[in-house]
Amino acid sequence: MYGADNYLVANDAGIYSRHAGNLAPEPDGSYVVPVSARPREGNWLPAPPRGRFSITARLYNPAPAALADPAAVALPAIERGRCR
Amino acid sequence: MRLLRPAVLFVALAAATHVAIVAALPWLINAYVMHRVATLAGGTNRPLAAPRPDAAARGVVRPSPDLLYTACVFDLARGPVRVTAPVQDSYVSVSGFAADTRNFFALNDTQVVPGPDGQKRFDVVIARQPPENLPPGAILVIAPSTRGLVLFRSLITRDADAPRLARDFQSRQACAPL
Repeated sequence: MYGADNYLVANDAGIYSRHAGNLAPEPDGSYVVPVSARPREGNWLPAPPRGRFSITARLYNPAPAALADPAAVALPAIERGRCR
Repeated sequence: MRLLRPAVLFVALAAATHVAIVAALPWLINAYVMHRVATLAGGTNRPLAAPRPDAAARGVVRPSPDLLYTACVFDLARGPVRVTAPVQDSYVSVSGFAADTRNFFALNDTQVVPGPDGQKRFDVVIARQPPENLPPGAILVIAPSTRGLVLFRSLITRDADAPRLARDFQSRQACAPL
């Protein structure tokens, strides 16, 4: 998670990313990551309180099929939520 | 018509300036980065093990918070440089960048063959021309420039592992004259 200045977003929880080692999966094996400036349940990824932000997905040692055809990799879907 | 000649001259000058800046920027930016890294490391051919990036990190834009970075400015003016490190049990890579930022080599943990003791280890010699004293088992890489940057990236797969990775692996990522 990067702010408009392209640096990591400061937050009291010290959470800057979600990865295989700190993601709790859903019962079906998928992952849901709430992106929000306010703390959320689950795999919360803190966003800046205002302004633009961007998210980068990085794959380390991906499967051969992903290397052969990166465009075919199923990237996470991003859905706009509702303000609380 | 009397404005045509100055206008053409202006456009030509602007185009030449644009091309010169675009061509020079990679060199200038990399020279600045190498100067900073070498200063912090105490000189060239010495590793600089950076702490895990957080919101206060301002060394480079868009750092990965899940990687430990170790950088080393190599200077081959007095001969080859040897880059060594143990390979951890998660993703780790070492890559080399020429003075113009060109990436001229990269190796990761999956490409390293275990030694006789069963352990994986990076052992790379960077040189301008093949040395006579290449250590057995070392990989020779011919650099396209005398100076450049070597970068280790070590993946933290679990937050609790970060101190162990820094102590047992990042601290042993080395570069030194051969």
